[in-house]
Amino acid sequence: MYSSNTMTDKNMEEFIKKTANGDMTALKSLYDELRVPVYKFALSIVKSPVSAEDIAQETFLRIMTNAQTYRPKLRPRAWIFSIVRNLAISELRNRLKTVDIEEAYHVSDTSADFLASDDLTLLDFLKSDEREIVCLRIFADLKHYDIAKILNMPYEQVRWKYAYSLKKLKKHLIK
Amino acid sequence: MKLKKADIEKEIKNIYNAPVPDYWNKIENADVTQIPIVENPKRRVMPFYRIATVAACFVLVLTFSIIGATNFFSENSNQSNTNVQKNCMDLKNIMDYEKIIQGNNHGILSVDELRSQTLENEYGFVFKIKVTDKYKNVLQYYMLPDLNDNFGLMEYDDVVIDKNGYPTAKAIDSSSYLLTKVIVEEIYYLGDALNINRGDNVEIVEKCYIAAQASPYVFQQNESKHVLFCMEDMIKLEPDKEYIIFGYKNNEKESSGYGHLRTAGFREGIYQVDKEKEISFYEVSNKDSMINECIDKLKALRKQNGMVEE
Repeated sequence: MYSSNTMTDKNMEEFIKKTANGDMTALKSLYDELRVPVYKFALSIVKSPVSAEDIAQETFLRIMTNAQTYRPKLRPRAWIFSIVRNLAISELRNRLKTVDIEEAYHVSDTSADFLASDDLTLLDFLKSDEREIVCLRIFADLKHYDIAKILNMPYEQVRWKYAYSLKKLKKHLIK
Repeated sequence: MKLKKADIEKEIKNIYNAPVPDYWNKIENADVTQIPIVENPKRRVMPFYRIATVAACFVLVLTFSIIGATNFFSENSNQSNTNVQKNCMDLKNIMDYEKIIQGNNHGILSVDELRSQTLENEYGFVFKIKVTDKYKNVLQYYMLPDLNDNFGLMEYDDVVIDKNGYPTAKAIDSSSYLLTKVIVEEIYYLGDALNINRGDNVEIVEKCYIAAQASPYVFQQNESKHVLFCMEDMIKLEPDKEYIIFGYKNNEKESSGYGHLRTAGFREGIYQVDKEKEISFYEVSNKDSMINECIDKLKALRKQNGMVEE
């Protein structure tokens, strides 16, 4: 379904290894491949273009500095998006230190005005975990198996939550 | 308005349509020394006195547990039997024999081969499956395929493939197959557990049977023990392995929303399936499992009812 990936896992792993040796062209290749999904996934969590850009930028810097610690326990794509997720969640925590993380998901930054209000409410119908699953699947283009690993959830739970979320959204789209 | 899964996904994908900024320059010029490096945790050597303490505790616990178990078996042998019995009863409750026996169709299926991988991942895999035995086949329109007839078992959605290239299906994925006999010009599958959709891209143009997979969410709604039993179990569909198929009668009435599978109204020459009918797959590789116990019960039931073996 998501055949837009041009870079295979093997290629991506090689680029990560090269990045570990300080090869900036390898990092640039990763950047070209993942610039958009990384940004969009970050945006889907923090809802602020400015913060999303900071997170995306930070993600690639982390790839560069932490590439040597990468072990292929996770698929490279999943590893990268787990970095994005961690950064985005710590951004949410920083932003709303006193607020519950569930609420933080539903409080958007004022700079997110450019987003159509309808679009914002569409994903806001989902709970934080459902939202993450949907965004990891659709923006990050990850398989359910990878999402389960990142979110530390059983595979089947991810799978039915995804199906359930789509049905939820379908209801709202039909309305 | 009919919205397919792909349409909804597209809709979500289009949410953030704003142009993505190019931030490469910032990455190139960033001061990398400020970025923390996550070290892999190093194993620390445990000091000797800690090892000694842990070992001593372990020996102590072991001794007490042996003494406790000996006393338990010598003094309360009757009670221990009761405990075992109770555990068995619990498992039986989970299995819900009554519901299985109420079902109209029981039989054994074997998966012959992975027939084809369909063109789009969305439709998954089609297996060639054979019915090797039938235990119960009460109503004609519930009928199982004829013995040794081949039919397709289609799994769709996101399929994980094992080392040998076969899909691995969690029991929750495969535990509610609605089996119906169709004469196929195009392949049908049950989408959303609500409507029957047509899989245009599947190229099997011959008489076959389709087992369509319902959305796993159905089982969450269902809240039956039968389903809970399936949750943790892994079923791997493999050639030369047998699977048992149980007709599972659901007493709950169909509800709106994501309820149970609805009547599959096929065209002429195609058998209908009752909306309250669900059929589940269990692997029967483990001879000691309660599934075998259930098979025995079903065999006895067949004898009792004087059913003619086919």
